[in-house]
Amino acid sequence: MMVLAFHVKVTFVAAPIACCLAFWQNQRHRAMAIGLLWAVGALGGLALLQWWTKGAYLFQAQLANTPSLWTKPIDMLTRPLTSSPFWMLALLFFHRSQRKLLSAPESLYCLCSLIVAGVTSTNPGSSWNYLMEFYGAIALLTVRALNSLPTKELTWQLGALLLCHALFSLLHTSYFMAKDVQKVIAYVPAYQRARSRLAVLLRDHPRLLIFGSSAGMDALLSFGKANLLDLPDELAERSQALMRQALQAGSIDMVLFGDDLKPWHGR
Amino acid sequence: MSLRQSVALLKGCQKIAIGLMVLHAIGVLVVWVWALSRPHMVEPIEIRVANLIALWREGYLPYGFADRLPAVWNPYGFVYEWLCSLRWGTLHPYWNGRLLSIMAAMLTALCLLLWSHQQTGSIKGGVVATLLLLTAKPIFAFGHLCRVDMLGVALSMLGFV
Repeated sequence: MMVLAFHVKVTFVAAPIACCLAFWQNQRHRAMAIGLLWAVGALGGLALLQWWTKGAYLFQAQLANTPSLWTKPIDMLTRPLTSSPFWMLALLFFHRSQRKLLSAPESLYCLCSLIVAGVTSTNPGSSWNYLMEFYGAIALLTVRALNSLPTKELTWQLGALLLCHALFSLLHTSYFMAKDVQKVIAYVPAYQRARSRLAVLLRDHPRLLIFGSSAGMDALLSFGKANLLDLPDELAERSQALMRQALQAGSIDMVLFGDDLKPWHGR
Repeated sequence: MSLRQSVALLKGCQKIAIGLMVLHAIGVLVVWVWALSRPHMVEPIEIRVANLIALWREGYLPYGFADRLPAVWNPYGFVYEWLCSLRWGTLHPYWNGRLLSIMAAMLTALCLLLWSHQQTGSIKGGVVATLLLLTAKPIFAFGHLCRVDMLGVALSMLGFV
């Protein structure tokens, strides 16, 4: 499973590292076996894919992903404290009263996923999704904490913190989800305009290329067609050169540019 | 207020908290189902991922040096994209991706229930942890999208437990 996760996205390495560290304390052979099996599956698979794609697999993974924002980890690592303060407080509270939780495998998983999130978040496009695995690990730690409540007093305090968290979350989630839904609703007219324009154009020009328009690309996808060009903004010049080449060679019928989906003729 | 009254109040707190978190989870699931039904993107990165899935479906290997068409940026592994490209009831370009992410979120919940059951034989702790997980911003905002992350989290956690 952890090998498959690595082949979903190469940043999913926290779980195998945490497993090895957790077993290293008592069962060194098991830790080494897990590490070795994972390395064979993940890195062997990576080598195979590199060979199959003639080196393009790793080229793609690092393209436009170069670390550049070295202050971003500070922002990323403090986000759980500001977006789930009462949950984090409850866990800190547990850690204080139950020292053995600190060495629990789930704590190691939290630490590893937080380090991975910190390191990978230095790329400019990083967002909240970099903290997903950390929250998964935190949830696992919460299970252990809840299952080992030592005193009744702690249960009451936890109840109070849970209530604060639930109230906070209702407001927090409603606010962000309402904002997201509003954005989607505001986007629909642009998508529908692009769809009607493409419906006409696709009859005579089945091989279309869209450049610089999300709504246009979205509309093209809705007709079951892929856009053959989608490079990051940093490579805009290369995109234009490729479009020019394709137009000259006649491998595409038309390039549509910008949100108005105007024809692009190579200038 | 007597000690007995305070105890009763705090026990009530727990029940109210769980009730509110169930309400929260229902709200999140409603938005997720609404998003699943949308035939267009609900978050910008979805377009890039859906385009990669469409390329897989058209028989292209979406890994290249961006020196000829198709020239796309694909920083992800093949597992999610390839799974989504299989024709299992595609209603719109984002359907498979979003459905797979929601199924991965359910798998994550199952991990928490399993983890709790392994430790105490009861799933109560796992249920509370699942409700808590749904309150995390990365999960409620990204857990249902046509993006690779939720599947990666679910597989990692499944491997860990």
